[in-house]
Amino acid sequence: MSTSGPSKRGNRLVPRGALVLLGIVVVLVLVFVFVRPEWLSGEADDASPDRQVSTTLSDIGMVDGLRLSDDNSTTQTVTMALPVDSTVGNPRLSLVGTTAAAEDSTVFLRVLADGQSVYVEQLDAGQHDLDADIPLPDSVAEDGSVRVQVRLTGSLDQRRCTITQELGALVVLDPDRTRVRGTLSSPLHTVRDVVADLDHDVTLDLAFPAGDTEWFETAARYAVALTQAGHEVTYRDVGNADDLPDDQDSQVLLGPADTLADLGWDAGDPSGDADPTVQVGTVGDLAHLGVLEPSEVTPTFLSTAAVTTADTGASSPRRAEPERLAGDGVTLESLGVDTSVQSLTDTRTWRAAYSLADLPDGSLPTRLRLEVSVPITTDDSRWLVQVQLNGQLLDSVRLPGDDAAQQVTLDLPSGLEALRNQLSITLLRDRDLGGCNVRQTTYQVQVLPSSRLVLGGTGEGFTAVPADYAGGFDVLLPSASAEDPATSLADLVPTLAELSGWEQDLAFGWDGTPGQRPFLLLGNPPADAPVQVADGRITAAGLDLQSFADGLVVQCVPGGVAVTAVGVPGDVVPPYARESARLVTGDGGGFVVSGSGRVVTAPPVRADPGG
Amino acid sequence: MTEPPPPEAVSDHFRSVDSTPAQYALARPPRVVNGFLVNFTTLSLLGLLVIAVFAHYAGDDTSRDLVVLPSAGERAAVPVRLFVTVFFVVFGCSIASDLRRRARVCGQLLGTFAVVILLVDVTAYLARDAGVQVPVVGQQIVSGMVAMISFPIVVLRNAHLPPPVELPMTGRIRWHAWPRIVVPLVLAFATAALVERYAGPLTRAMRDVALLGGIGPGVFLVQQVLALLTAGIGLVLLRRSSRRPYAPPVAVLVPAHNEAHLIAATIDAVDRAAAAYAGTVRLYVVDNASTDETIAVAETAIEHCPNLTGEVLVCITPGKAIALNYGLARITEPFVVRIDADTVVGEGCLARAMRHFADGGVGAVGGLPLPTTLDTFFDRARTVEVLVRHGFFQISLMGYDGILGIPGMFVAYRKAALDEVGPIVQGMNGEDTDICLRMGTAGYRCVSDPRAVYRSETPRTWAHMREQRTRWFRSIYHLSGHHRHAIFSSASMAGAVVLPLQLINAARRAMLVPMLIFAFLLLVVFHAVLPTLRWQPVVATIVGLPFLMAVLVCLLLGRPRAVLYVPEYLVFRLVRSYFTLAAVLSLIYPPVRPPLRSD
Repeated sequence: MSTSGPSKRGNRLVPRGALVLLGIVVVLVLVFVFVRPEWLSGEADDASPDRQVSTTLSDIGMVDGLRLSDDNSTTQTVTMALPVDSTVGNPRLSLVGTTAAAEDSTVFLRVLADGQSVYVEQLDAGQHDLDADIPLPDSVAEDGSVRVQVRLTGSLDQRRCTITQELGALVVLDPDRTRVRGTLSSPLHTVRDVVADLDHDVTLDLAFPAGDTEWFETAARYAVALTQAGHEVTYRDVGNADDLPDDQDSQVLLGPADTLADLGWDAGDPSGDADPTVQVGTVGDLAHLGVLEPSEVTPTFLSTAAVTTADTGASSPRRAEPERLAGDGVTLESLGVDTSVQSLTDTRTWRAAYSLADLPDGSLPTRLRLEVSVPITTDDSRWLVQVQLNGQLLDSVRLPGDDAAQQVTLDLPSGLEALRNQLSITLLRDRDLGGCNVRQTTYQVQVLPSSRLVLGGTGEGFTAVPADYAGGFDVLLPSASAEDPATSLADLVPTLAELSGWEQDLAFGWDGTPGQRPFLLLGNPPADAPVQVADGRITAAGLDLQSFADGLVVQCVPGGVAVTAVGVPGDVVPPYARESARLVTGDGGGFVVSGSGRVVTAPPVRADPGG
Repeated sequence: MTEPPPPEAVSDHFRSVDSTPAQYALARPPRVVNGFLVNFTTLSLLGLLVIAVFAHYAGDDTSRDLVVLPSAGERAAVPVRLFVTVFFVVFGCSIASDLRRRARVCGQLLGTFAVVILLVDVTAYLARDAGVQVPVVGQQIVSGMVAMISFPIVVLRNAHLPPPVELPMTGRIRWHAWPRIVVPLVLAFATAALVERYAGPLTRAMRDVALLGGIGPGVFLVQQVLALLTAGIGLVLLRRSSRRPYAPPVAVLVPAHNEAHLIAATIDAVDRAAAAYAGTVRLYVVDNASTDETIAVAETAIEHCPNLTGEVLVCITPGKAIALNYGLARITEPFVVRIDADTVVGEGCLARAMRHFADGGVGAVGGLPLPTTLDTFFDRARTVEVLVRHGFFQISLMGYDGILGIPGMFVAYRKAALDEVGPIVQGMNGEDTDICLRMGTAGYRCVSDPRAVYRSETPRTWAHMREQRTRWFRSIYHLSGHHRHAIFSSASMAGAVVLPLQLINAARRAMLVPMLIFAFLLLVVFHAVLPTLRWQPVVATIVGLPFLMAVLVCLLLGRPRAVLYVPEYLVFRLVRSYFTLAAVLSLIYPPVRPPLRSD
């Protein structure tokens, strides 16, 4: 017996002790994997979840990431909100994605944070992964936001000379891993910081009693404001839930304080008002905003600059009326056009996006009065301005070369407008000379702040609705809608946000019939509506179709707009324009119903049989 | 009348006193190297876990490797230094010796490595301070390569190895051997740089499919281009060397230990080769303590040979070298061909090999040892290995007089040279390479002619393969110990250049399997911590250039069918790495004597 031990040991392929040790270490690693997965995430994390702040491209709505190329734009700028009352320390920018550069190109990826250069790296030729972790100056986080500009510069080497301005490069930034992050000096604790921390996707947790129309209206107003600000809002009825999920960002809770407390929302010890309307509380480690009373003011307060005064954990706004645009025109600057001095080598484009609903009185722009400041040209060159509206080239105008300040007025023809519009203005320096011997010079140019759109036109179909609604309108709902607020809000808000103006006063009517004021009706279309939805079919003068399972019928009816929801409509808003009726499928598709009640559809492009 | 059945091989016929020479090797069981790999995995997991936790808590400025004064924000792709540290620690703990020796080996390996790290990192820090950007990966590669050099040095300093050979180094490297290596080396660097510069898309595409690159340090393409260029020179030299007919009387010496099952075929083949040879051939079979019917079978076979004369000598002291010296002492012919008892020489083998001796400077000539059959995985992998190693790289070494040794399976010696540098060393592995090295230091050259084809038995079992390869791979350390004065000497190119490179190559090969384990852990468990490591470099370490070179060599040597066996060869390279590790662990590391007590 005494010899069997060593013999067995000698026959073993692996020493038992080594296997035991390996087993222990494997168990240790598995413990890390399952209990502390963040420890193997490869990321520095010296703070608990409530002391971290992180804003990704997805959080600000760039769900497809960000692309830099000759075909899109070689410069992109994003602004990411950051808390101000909880100081952001060690701010960093993570750029994650892919790069592709042509073989003979010299391309640099440059990053600026609030105008300060923080990163310059030459792109390697070929396709590569990008994983840059860039420390940011502490000062960029002090004003509550950081403006990150990502640029590609360089040239495509043509060996003898460079005759093209193309870079031949593509940079794609991952929407979920490209982010600004930092550590917080304290957990989020003020209303304005929690509002600033809201992501692109916001969940409204509806904890108020079913059937309560006041709460429903508050939720609808806030949801419309969030939607118009670019958030994607979802609704969750938590009235009957046991508790709230403690790992979800960007939740706003609506309901009485005691109901929220029952759900696990911890209001802490609020300072200031003893009976606040809005208050910051926590669910688990995360701070969430609670709207504790129904109010017409609170949604406006939370979605306008007024919220910047809320530097404590609770607030009770009583009045906050936003100043609305008025007059017979709007400046391009108010539409987001950068009117600062810009550098230009050959060409530069400014873009303005606007909704008719946000323009004074819902009027249509009829003219563009553009004022630009450009250097005086030499004899061999001239300045050109090209203007496009919704992808249609309206005109190309040559600027006279004898004055630095130039004015161009262009008519904006009717018929091209939609509810949402994109105006682009391109300034080009056109030269007689070209090729390799021409020196590339950078010029300073500026679209002057006095540039404006002149209003006064009238729309047709949906583009006429903003003008109709400008003096006020009623949102008519069946009272049954309030019984299932999560579903009703999902049906109503996307279309209501599209047709109503920014911070426009919304008057709700329950179970009423249309009166003198224009209206937006949620429910079955009136009898005189061109499109009817009944008995599982959608009918009009020229169509009789089985109804889709999920979708919306949106149509102009005498006195207003009727929105009829079928099933669970999606939240993708179609490009409403001059049509009067539209069937919107769950994915935002569908078709336009013509004035004669027929399906509007383009004939197919017939290929040449010969090839 | 029926033929009597051929005798069967005795059990473990491949084992002999040469398997583990008692003075310089230990017969360590497979669990030693298996245990090494398991312990390496364990310690690597722990080390990587520490790096992950450190990265989690210490912030983003950590390099994620053992880097002193790292550049801010720069991360390692692979924690090379952690790998080396873990490898050294596990190696030090796995050698068969007392605690003091283990501690000394660990201390020397880690101490040297720490000094190297410090020097490299401080230099990089000062360079950065002066405005010269040094990437952290560059620091890692430099320290990793130095570690690869220091490893064999520490092994040679601590292992009990054959004493230095006492032989005057009368030879001198021929002056034109230097330009034959330096010029191709410069051209190789230039070619590699040009390919990198102008064939960027191609090399990138190849890297993306794991045909180029790797996770170890290395210089892209230089080694392969150098080998191709020097092989071209070697081919020219080979043709010149064999252009004159030469057929002197030759003795064929066959040491045999328990080879009754093969010896008859071996003798028959020699007889057929003798028929094609213009000179006289006398066969000497030296039975070496066989316990089977080797003597009887050999005598019968010799009686049936019409083309040679021969006799069976009996050497009762076991040991292949002893048997060889026993036979050599009785040979009177001016040339002697040594073949193993399991080798079947080709018909033209003798005639082809002996022509090279027309040059009086040639001391030894070898051939191409193809496997006897292609039945097993080992046969097929060995086929490609032979083509690459003996059909190509030996020619490349010949291009600058750098052949280190000729395998004893078939080698022809100039008897005068043997007498001058002999006898064949006993009690260590690599006696065939040893005699070539000694001839080199005495001024003789070795030639390897792939047209002299012979067939040699390939191990049929894992145990046999383990015995053979452990013995072969151990020999580099025995040889280095025995010829330590030849290293970097001017006596022979083999000692000056090839032997040191082979030592480093042995270290690299021993690290290959642990390196792949390490890379696997990084990819599967710790990918988020070091996300820049992709699967391609890991696979390229196994496939990559070895694959391309193997395919190229098979085609160049006119054996396209062998390309089919290249995948098995690539797997076999991992097996070789495993046995290389086993070999270095089978050396004897004598206990350190405790200091004398003064009581």
